[in-house]
Amino acid sequence: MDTSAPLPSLLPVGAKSGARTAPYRTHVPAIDHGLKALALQQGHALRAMSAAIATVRVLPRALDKEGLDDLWQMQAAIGERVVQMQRGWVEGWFGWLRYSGQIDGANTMAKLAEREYNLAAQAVQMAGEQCEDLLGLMENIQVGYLYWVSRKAQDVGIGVI
Amino acid sequence: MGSEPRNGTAQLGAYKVEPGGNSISGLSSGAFMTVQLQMAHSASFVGAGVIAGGPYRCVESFRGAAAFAEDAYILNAEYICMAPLTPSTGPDARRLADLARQTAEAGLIDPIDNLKSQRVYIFTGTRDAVVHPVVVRSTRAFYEALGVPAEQIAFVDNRPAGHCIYTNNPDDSPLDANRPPYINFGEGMQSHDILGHIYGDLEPPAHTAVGELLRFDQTEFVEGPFGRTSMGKVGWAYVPRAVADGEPARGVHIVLHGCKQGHAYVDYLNGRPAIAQQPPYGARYITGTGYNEMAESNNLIVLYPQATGDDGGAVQNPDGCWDWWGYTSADTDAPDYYSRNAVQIRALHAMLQRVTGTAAPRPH
Repeated sequence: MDTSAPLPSLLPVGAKSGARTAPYRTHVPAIDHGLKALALQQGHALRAMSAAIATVRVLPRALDKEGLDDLWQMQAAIGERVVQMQRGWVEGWFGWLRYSGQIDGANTMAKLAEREYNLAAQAVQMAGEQCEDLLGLMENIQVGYLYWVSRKAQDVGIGVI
Repeated sequence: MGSEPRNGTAQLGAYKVEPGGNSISGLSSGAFMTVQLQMAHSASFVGAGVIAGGPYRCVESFRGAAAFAEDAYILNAEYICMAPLTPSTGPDARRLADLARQTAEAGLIDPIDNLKSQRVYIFTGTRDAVVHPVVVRSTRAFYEALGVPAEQIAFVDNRPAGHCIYTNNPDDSPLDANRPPYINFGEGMQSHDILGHIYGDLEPPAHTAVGELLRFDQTEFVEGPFGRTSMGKVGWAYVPRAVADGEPARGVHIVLHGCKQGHAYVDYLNGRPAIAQQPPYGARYITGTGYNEMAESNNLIVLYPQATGDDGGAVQNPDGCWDWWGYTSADTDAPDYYSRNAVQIRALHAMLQRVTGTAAPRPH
């Protein structure tokens, strides 16, 4: 096997980065943010489609005992990361609840306003971090699986997925 | 010697340095850069210390991760090279070793054969949640695939450490922590373990580092726009007392900090530098990790080059990481962060040449 050859891929990997700056930038922030989100969602959808196609094309030829073992390990690792993530979320929200119960020291209007703001800010921050965690895990699964199946495709001589 | 400090910052000077005694170590992004610098200039080093770092050009493992190269490299960095789900979704050491050989054949880095005589220390903590042990194991496999004999590699993976360099300072974070500044209390000095493995017969560390701790100007080591490098304007160097007094140094050791560890690093809070809430880190990594005490008793000069953060400016590097995914590359489709031509590697090597007195004279 030639390990120096690029791994097979469905994605149009020849696309030049310079080509996207023009269509994806209007220099109107609200529009640019929307376009960026759209572009990233396209990438996400394309990876999902690639994974599905690769599964159909490659796995029937490449799924041996080692491959099954790899998939089982991936499944177990995903479960473990989900549990870790949820444990962190629960700890975070319990901490927030404890903080929200500590209102006795807020003896002035200004202090009370600060406490209420802190509660809201902490909640927004935690929700944002949890969203990041979740999206990160989803991307990790997608990229990891696609990478793995591309290597399997190369092992069995499938040049293009 | 360096010039007199101006506004507290001196020009990095030249010292008497015995040939064949230079080495490098780093943590996290500094560890990835350690591997890159060692590969690019393997003729200049006798060994390296890699704490929680991955193999060479790891971000190019899977170009098919995204349509655009820069997106693909980021995705590779985040997932394949830092947090792979399993060994089979992590770096492929054999493939990356082949890539390194091709890079050497293309003349972009020094010959691979130089590595065969080098000593390498590689560490991963069993609790590391930032750069997973799977990745670091592939770093060991990478060196072995390139012909570094197993007896010259110290691979340590049995400490319950998080993502960190460990120290013997109980004021540092708990050993299993995975949080900035990534300096944890581990009942030992990891820097001593690294230097001990690379150099072998070292004197015990000095009780106090009584040499000169210098701030030097890093801008003079960069050709072209400095902002693109994501390097700080100031770097640090430790010169042992005896070397400052004229004795030859045994060698130069370059220490590369990790992300969120530069001396001027300030965290970004909701996209803004949190200067009001948090002072810069200062010289904690430079003075608190034990390198200087070991350098003092063994006549080693230590360089602490500095990277700096930038969120949304010329480069996208908010955490002040060294470039191991191509953010300094002018052409993201053909990144050059790994070769002798890479802007950070050129600067780092120029610093080494200056200190050892092997730099070509600067044109007037």
